[in-house]
Amino acid sequence: MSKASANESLLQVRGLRTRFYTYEGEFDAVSGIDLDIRKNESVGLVGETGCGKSVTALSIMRLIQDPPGKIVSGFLVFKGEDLMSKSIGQMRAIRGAHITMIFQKPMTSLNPTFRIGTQMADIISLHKQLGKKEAWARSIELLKNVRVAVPENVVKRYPHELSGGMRQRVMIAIALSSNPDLIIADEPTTALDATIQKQILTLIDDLRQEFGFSMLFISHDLRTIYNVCDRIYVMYAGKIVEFGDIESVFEYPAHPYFSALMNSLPKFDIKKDSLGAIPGTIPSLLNPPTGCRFHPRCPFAFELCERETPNLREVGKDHRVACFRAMEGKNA
Amino acid sequence: MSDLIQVQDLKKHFPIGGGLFSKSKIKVIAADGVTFSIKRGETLGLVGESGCGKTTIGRLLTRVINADSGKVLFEGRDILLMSESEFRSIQKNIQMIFQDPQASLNPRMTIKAIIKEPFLVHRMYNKGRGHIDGEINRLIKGVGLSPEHLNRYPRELSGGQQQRVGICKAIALNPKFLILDEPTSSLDVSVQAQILNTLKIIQREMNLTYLFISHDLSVIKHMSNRIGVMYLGHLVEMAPADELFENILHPYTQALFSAIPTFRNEVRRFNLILQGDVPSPLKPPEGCRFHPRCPQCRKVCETEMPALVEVAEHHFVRCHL
Repeated sequence: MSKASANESLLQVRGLRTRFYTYEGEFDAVSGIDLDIRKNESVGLVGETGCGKSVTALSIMRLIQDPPGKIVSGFLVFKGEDLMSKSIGQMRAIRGAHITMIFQKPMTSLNPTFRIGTQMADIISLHKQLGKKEAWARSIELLKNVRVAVPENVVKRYPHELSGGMRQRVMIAIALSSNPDLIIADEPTTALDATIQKQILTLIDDLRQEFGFSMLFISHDLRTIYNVCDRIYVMYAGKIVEFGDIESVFEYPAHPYFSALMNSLPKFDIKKDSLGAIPGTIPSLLNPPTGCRFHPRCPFAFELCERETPNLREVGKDHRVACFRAMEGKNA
Repeated sequence: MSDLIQVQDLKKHFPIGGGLFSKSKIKVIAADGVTFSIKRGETLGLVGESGCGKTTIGRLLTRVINADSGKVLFEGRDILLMSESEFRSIQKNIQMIFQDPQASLNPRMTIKAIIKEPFLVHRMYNKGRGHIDGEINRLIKGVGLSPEHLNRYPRELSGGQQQRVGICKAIALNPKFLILDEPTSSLDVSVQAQILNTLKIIQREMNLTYLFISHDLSVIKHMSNRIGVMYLGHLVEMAPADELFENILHPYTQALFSAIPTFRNEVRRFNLILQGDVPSPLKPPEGCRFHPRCPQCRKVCETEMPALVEVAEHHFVRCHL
């Protein structure tokens, strides 16, 4: 992979704001975020429940259900084209062909009443003009790609006859079927056991080498993100609070939220009696705090944090943080 | 320190299929001869993948389900042999905290009613209503909630707060032994940290004994004094927490440890990726249950079940190697 191609942009998200209209009121699940995915890159998106990770992913796919949700502003530039201006039909052609998705629960994404092969062939022939037999043969080939031992056998099975790991392999095979540029993986291994999770992550790594797709990897598991991603974005209450090169962000977590999150993880190498818990709870998005959204829980907050929203500022090479205090800490 | 709980050769097979008149021939092997003991004030961690039987062990100890055979000695008395009324008299000493706090709290009861229920069930209201209310206020503060939460319903609380109510209910009657079945698995890491801290504090204050069940090794390491690793209904390795992390002996434990993602500065000694899935507990393999996936499998492993042997002080392993 040459340096030039490594920095080539694949997807640019600018000022994305996704709003939901509910009985309790309107709120922005994602409130004005910028995100970049370059070619051949694996980008991690991390954050806790309700921070807007999955809404970001669905917004990129333009799969936000309307009502109750709507992308109210922002640009999605994919391979130089604006996705926001695409019609439903054009978008459908892009989804599944250029951008595909792997979900957390493979059982609910597969239709329980059809054989694996039938489902796969269906999707394949949707994007490529292939006959029934060819599509069937192609699905066997795809299953071989994801290291399924006896694919001829697996295509004849129903989803419930497969194990969780095997189902997730089928999902990956489907996601790969059109040779996409970008795969969005939303917690792909959360529902799996540790040893199976390891198999799937190793498989995704190998496939990335082989097919060279980019990946947006969404997870709440910091260790998994650290192991599969090149860069990371940290979300809190609908905003990106820190992003950058994976090594840099994990070595010098600059945002108080992210460093607190790291401290709250039980560690293997350090014996501690108590964990660094973050006081309070995640703010309601219906009524988000003024200024920096983390300030009510932040030990370093001062009055400026309450008044003004910090911008993302550079703290290191390819490492930006939205915090007024982060720069000071760097100098101290 | 003496043992609070001794479990000897505990077995549970769940029959499946079969009808009203035909006996079932297939059995799910959930626990197959599990033996361990827990000292007073100690935390024993049980770790393993889904279907290994760790939850079944927890449920057997509370008699939520009945064991097929084996002994569970609580303070020297076998709870499996007790009559219903006998068991009820000691039941308040053994409490359980569940994974899904929302599912374990009655949605139609206020928090106050939920916490009060154990007092009523065990007829502990002889000291008068005021006494119970005072107790409830004390308890709710102890788990980091405030009395204003008492009049709310479970759905009005966050997942972390619900789990605090679950803890509150479990410790209401001053138990001696708590079984924690994945208490933080459905929570975010920052909330998980709060709950784990609370659990450690109440353990110290009330001198509680914990059986901590989880699939997350980092959580188990943080909480436990000793750790037992389960695979398909068997304990395959058991050792004090520090010893286990220093000196892993069973190939399955090694595989489990190499499967967990870690940060660079954390230690990793093995790089073992297992092939294949966990075999079905309907038909566990002959001999050592792990042999079809074991990279160091020998001839003897295919036919003979290894015994759980003490190889170092307090370090038990079930392996021929």
